[in-house]
Amino acid sequence: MRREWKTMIGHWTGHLADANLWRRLVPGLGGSSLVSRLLGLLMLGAVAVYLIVNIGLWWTSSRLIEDNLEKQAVRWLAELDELGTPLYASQGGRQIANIDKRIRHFPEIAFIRYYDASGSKVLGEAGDLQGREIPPLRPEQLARLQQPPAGVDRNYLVDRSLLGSAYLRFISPIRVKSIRSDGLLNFSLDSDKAENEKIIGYIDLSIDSGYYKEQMIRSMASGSLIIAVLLLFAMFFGSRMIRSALAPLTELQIPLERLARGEIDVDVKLAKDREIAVIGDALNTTIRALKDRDETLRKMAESDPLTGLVNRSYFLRELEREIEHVSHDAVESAVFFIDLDQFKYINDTLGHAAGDKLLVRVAELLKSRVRENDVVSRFGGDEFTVLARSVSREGAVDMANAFNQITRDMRLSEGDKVFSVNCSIGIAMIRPGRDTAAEVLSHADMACFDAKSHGRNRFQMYEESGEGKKEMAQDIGWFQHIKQIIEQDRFRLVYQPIVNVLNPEKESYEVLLRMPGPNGDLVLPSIFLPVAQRFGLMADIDRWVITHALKALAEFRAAGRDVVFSINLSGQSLEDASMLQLIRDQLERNRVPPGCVIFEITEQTAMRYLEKAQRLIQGLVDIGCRFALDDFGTGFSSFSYLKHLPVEFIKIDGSFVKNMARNTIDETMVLSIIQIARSLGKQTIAEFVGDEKTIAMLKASGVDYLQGFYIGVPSERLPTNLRVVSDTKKNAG
Amino acid sequence: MFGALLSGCFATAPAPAPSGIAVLLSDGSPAFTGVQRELRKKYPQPMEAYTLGNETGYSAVQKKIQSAPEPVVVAIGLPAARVARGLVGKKVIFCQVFNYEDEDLVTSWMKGVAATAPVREQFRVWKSLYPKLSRVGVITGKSLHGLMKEAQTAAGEYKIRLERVEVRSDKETIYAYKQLAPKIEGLWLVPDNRVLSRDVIRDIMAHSVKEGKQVAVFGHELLSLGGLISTETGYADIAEQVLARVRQAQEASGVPGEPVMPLTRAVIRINSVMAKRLNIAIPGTLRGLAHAP
Repeated sequence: MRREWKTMIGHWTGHLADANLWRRLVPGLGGSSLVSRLLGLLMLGAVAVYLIVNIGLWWTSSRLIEDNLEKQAVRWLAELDELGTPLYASQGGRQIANIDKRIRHFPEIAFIRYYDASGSKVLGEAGDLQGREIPPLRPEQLARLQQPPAGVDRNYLVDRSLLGSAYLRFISPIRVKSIRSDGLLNFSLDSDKAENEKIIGYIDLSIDSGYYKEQMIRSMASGSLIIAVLLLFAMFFGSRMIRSALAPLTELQIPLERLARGEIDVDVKLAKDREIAVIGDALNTTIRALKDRDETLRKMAESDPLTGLVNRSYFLRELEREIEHVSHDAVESAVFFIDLDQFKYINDTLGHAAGDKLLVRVAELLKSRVRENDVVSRFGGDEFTVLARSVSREGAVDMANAFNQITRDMRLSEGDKVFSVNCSIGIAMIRPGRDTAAEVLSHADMACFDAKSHGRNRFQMYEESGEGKKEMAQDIGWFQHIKQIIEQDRFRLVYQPIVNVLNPEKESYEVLLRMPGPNGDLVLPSIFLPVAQRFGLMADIDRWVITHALKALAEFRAAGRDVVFSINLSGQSLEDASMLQLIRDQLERNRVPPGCVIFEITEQTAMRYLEKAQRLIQGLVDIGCRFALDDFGTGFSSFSYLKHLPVEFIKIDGSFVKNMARNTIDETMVLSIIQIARSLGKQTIAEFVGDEKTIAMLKASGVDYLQGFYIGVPSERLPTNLRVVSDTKKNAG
Repeated sequence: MFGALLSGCFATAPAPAPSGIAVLLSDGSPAFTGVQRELRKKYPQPMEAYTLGNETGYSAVQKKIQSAPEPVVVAIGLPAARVARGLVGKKVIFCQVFNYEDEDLVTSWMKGVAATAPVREQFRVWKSLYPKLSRVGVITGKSLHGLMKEAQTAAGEYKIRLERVEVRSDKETIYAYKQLAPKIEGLWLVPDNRVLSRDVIRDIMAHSVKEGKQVAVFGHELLSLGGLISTETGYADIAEQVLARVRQAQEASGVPGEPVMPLTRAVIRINSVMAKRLNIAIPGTLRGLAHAP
């Protein structure tokens, strides 16, 4: 029976452990949802309760059975004690048959034995003992029954070892009592006088506990089935209750999944339950924050943080859309490429804060002059672009004029200084089905370059055909080549002698620049310098020349040649606030005495950038450098300017010198310049000296220095002797 | 109040001048001291009293009595009788001993007084109470020949058939009673301590009540358990019979007469509650014995 019970438990636990069974019973079990987990927990709880209840039932029933068996045995022992009395009266009496008959209706009683007082002799036995080896009573059992241990009240022994624990064996002594000899005098039932007591035999009663256990298992199986059914009902209704209770929570699943996929256009409905409503509210708050963040990021990604204008990428997208629109609706639109003139100067001289202020102000002005559906962007640095939708060529020109005008009129103050800015504007018209966004922008850019090359502060319309386009393309080609030469450090310096008329032994050279052309030939400055000038590369070229010329000067002087170099500075360098510091650094680095360096600026440049020229010249003069005013005479300048410029030398423009021997006006101009210069205490240099007669005339007029191909051609090497100078001197003499 | 003192009709000869006696008590229980007290009242001559106490002191007490001058010793209770049995040259009268036969207490110099009330009187009252009484059972141990002989005689006198069963233990007593009960109308519960235990007495009484059997008991306390009629002895009667034998012994070389002198009076009570339950109407002549426990 025990084996059957174990088999039954094993069968049930096997089913309970079968995960597939649970999945079949509860759809969704095994997933990771909260409902599934709660259902799983409910199920585990139910299984645990089921097992605990069954174990409890088993344990309690077993205990009850044993307890009842024991009580039953006690009653049987009392009855058998009385029934067996004749056996002890007659020593083997005939009453055993009656006992056998009495127990026949009690199958749980396996057998009964009566022993004599010694416990060894069987006086009688009843029950089904066929084929069973019943062990005799053991001496220790008899001793224990005769003298029960202290504290043990019961009058019998329980032996569970009989026949593999299948039987419960109860052994009880049969006692007789008698009242003491004088106990009946003044007899009292409540007397505490002990009675005489004697054991006259033993009863050995064995009860088949398996009979009851079998009954118990049957009852338990029925009970377990009922409990299981009840638990299944409880689980069914429990799961429905859980699903119902968690419905507001599971309803959050879809919005959350959409949120996880990146969708933020989600609205979470607030549940009635306070706890879940808090979650929904928090989600809505999060969604709002995400939307705000996305909006902020989008704005950041599409706008320029300084000016608030849209940025390049947004502008390009809008431009592409506009090109499609133009193609579709056959309208015209225009793109403006606006580049601020002198922005670098403002940025370098007044600081980035002023530069930023300028950019913001220009952005505001541009924005104020466009229509609502036009797009203004900060394209980068000091470049702005404007997309003017549905505008004619004439309208575009009006807009460009307006842009030029507003920047011209604009005045900004920084500290005690008031400054203004101009802009160069390139315009490219968008025509239906013709250009891509990149091409349109390129056209506007090229037009802007063109405007710059034509003197800035103006606009230029991109022309699809004609010279303009060709020239523009050429200039851009040179511009890119010059930039490449600077980056690759490929300019070359040549040195043309300048002879001191009075001290021809003193070596002085003008540093001239040569550039390798695209085919490898050296290109003269007259070819590339205008382009560099137009495209704002002059300051970069000046830096290159200063750096390399001072290095070469140091080397020559180190080689023992007391040489003076004249270096040309462009007007753009005068605007470059960092130029003074660069020259200082290079002089110091190459240990060149500042007095050995003469900087030449053209008269026109000096007049145009008078204030700036004064500042730079004064700064260099302060450290010991000297200055020459180049091409003097061509700018029709007032001589009074010479008072304000701390120049030491005046270099007479070559056009006068070249023809003075044949043209009296030129001769007069040269003589006048020399006289005025001398009167102002400045030395004069005559360039383009081409023959002996000119030399003679110049000497006669009191010129201080001579320069020209006749004196000496520009060379990458310094001449080893001054033969020409000597000859000149000799001739002069 | 409820008892009645019934006097017998024994004639006593004029006694010679008595001399002193020794009284040996088994212990200080009332059954023994009560007799001693009555002896003192009724015996004017010197009386030396001894108490056995613990068993270890038995021989010392025995030696004392042996050396005492009193020739006649009254032993009250079985232990005292046993000790007195070992005396030499003394004349011994024992009392309050039920089963003297097993102890071999009766000799030519040692005789006793009955411990039970006269059976005849008991049967007389019982028959008067329940005239239909014809079969009475009695369960005893072995011996008790004297008492049984007296009982048979008394039963025969009142046309009662006395069914005696001899048993060896209390267990057999109850078993025997259950076997016997269907055959009898009443049980005469003889105070044989050898085959009675308190549990068995309770069982017998319970069984009797359940089965509606009349039980004549030996102590009025058992009336409360369902006894119908109780019969007890009186200390004065015992003392009188003892002193009668003392006087006989003082005049003779041994102790003359029958082994045990019967008592002359019985203290009888009738359980009116039980009588009612058994549908027995107590006759007017016995109403004085009625007792409601």
